[in-house]
Amino acid sequence: MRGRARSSRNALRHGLAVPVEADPHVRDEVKKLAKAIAAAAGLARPGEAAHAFAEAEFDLLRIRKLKSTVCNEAGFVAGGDLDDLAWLNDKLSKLARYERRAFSRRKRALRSL
Amino acid sequence: MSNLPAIKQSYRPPAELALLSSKASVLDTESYTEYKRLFDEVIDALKSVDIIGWILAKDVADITWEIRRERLTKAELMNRGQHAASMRSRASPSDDQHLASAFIEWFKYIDAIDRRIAQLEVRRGNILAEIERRNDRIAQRLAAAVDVEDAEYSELAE
Repeated sequence: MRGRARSSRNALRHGLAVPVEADPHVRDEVKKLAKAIAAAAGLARPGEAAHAFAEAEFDLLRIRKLKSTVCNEAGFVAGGDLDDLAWLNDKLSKLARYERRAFSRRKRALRSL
Repeated sequence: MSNLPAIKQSYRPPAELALLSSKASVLDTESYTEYKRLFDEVIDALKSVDIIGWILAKDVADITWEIRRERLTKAELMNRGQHAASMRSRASPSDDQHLASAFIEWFKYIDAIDRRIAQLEVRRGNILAEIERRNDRIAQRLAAAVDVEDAEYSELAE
């Protein structure tokens, strides 16, 4: 439990504090998505809003993956105990804060498109 | 594209949607086939026309899936609490009493789940409202384009 908590804490700290575009592979994908978003909005080139939308979307994907990871680790429905559930609640509430911010950023970007 | 759910009819996902893996939303203990079914139903209902619409529709599917997961966890928690209460009890209280004791003991966990479900429902409502706003704007743009074509046509007719 202690090892698991530590690995998850590290994932939260290093995973979410770092901008998604720090990873060169993700940076390319953000660019591709921003281009498609701009095209959908009838823009010739991806501007700041399209880029912000794509970036927030990749942030949401990263949060979703982390959420699945902590749920898989807790495995409460599959037979975990109350300690697992307390641990899961704590992790999910931390992730919810990041998720709210990412959704707000994406919403603002969408309104500016 | 292999990670994307198969769509039943003519609504095909834009290629860029493959960048956003849908498998991220499904736990090891969950069925990807069931998730796909839900995703297809949402796409059929919302009929997204572009990548933005598809991303918003995917959110609706993902949030609905997450709400379902939270409800299952809550049901499991209630069952376990009830079972634990009945095992502990020396007397033989009724099922309702078991359920009440479980609820009191496990309340903080159930409450956390209820709060998460409420937040997810609000978020899903906001996204659906955003989809509606976008669809209205697209419809207005299309209507404006039709008006221009009509005007051009009448000028040519003169």
